[in-house]
Amino acid sequence: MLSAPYTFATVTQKISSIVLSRRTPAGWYIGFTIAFALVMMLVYSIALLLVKGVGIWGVNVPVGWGFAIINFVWWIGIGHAGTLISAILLLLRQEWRTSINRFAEAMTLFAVACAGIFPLIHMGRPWLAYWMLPYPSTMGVWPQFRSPLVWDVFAVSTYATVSLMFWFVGLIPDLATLRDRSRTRFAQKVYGILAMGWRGSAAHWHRYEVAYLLLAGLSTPLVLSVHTVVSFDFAMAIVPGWHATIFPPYFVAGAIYAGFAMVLLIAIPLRAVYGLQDFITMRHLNNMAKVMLATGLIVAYGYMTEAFFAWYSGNGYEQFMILNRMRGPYAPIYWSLILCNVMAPQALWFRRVRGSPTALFVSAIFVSVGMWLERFVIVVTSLHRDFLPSSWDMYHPTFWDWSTLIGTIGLFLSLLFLFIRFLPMISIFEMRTILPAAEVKEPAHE
Amino acid sequence: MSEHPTNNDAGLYGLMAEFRDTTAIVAAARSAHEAGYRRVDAYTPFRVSSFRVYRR
Repeated sequence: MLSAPYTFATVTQKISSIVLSRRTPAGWYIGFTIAFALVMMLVYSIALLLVKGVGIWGVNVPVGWGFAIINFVWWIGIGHAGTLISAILLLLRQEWRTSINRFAEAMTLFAVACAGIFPLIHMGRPWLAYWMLPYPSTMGVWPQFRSPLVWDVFAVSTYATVSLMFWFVGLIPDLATLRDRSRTRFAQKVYGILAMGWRGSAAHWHRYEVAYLLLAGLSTPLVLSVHTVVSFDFAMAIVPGWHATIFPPYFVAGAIYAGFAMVLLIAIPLRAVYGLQDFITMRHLNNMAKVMLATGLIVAYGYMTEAFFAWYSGNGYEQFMILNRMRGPYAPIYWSLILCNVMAPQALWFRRVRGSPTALFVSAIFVSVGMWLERFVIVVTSLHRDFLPSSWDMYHPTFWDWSTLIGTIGLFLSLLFLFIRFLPMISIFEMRTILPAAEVKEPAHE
Repeated sequence: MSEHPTNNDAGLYGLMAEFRDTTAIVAAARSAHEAGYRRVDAYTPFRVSSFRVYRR
């Protein structure tokens, strides 16, 4: 798992020094400044939205769901790789998850934070968002439980809560390490409070193990359920191009696909900048590339199924929908999506591509862009030409659509920059566990 | 672990020892358990699953 001989002390030193003692690289300041400027742009865009309303966006009739829903689905999908790595790979005892689970989980949280903004701000009256919660209101207004929007509230809030708990519980032993190693009183206090009195006693570890396994068990169904509910936002409607039973598995595969692309986009620069090639090895990148290839093929199968059933259904509206995607005004976007999501990732079959961080980085960019385009195609091309030609219209995103999307990318990056500066980006104690010295050399007992 | 713990008038409250590797601390935990001790604890920088057995 590690590509060089390490001891408990050197592993701890190498990871914790990034937070505690090493000079923050100049690139961190530059990157954080740019990302934070984008957050300010996001804040401005949302403030303007609250003042003027959704009219500042390009949404219209019939395309009532524009960038807001595209971005929501894109971000929430990205989060799924973190949960898959932390929960499912843990239960399957895949030890290679050890050095990537911490920042993948952080990525999940930040992606969910970005995703959560969109359903709130696309509502028209975002200040009434709490009406979707089932609370005993004197107005007698109860959420409409037949609406997928309400299911989203439960799916996403559960996902955010469980992911946060999982991440925090996994951090506690490392927070204690930082508490014990930090030199300033302030850092000792802050990490000390967060470490919740962790002393590394056998009783603590026992409780930790139970809690962590329970949270992994809770997270595992969420990997499948959250994006299934998100796909119901579409599949429950009768719009051609949305009303399909393939949507849940196809969305979940797409989510994991996009998520692993994002993990690679983060891991490749991180290991280069902080010299972590011994911890995040080529084997890790190779495995992630394989997961990406496999889920990418499922997504490609989803596209084929959509086209096949449009023909096989014999339904004129479905057939028109798929031909309109391929040959209509948004055809360049559809074919870019096929290029990014179906053609480009086929390069991952080659060992040489999987062995080159640069090639993997480029593939991951293709997939990230492709998955965004996929949601654009699903949302826009299905809506813009529905049953009645008299109601057809084109959708053109405005500056504020773009600024909100780019602003959330800034928010995601800002949170990520803060995370790598103030918390250990690789789980220190789990890395200790996989060292040869951690093995107990004795005959089996009991 | 000291060979001859010195008892004072208040009686022996407890014993502590430091171990250099995982095998040694697990062996010590097993010996303490076999000798009938149950109010024991072990402090490690990572999870050692065999301890669970010796705490019962």
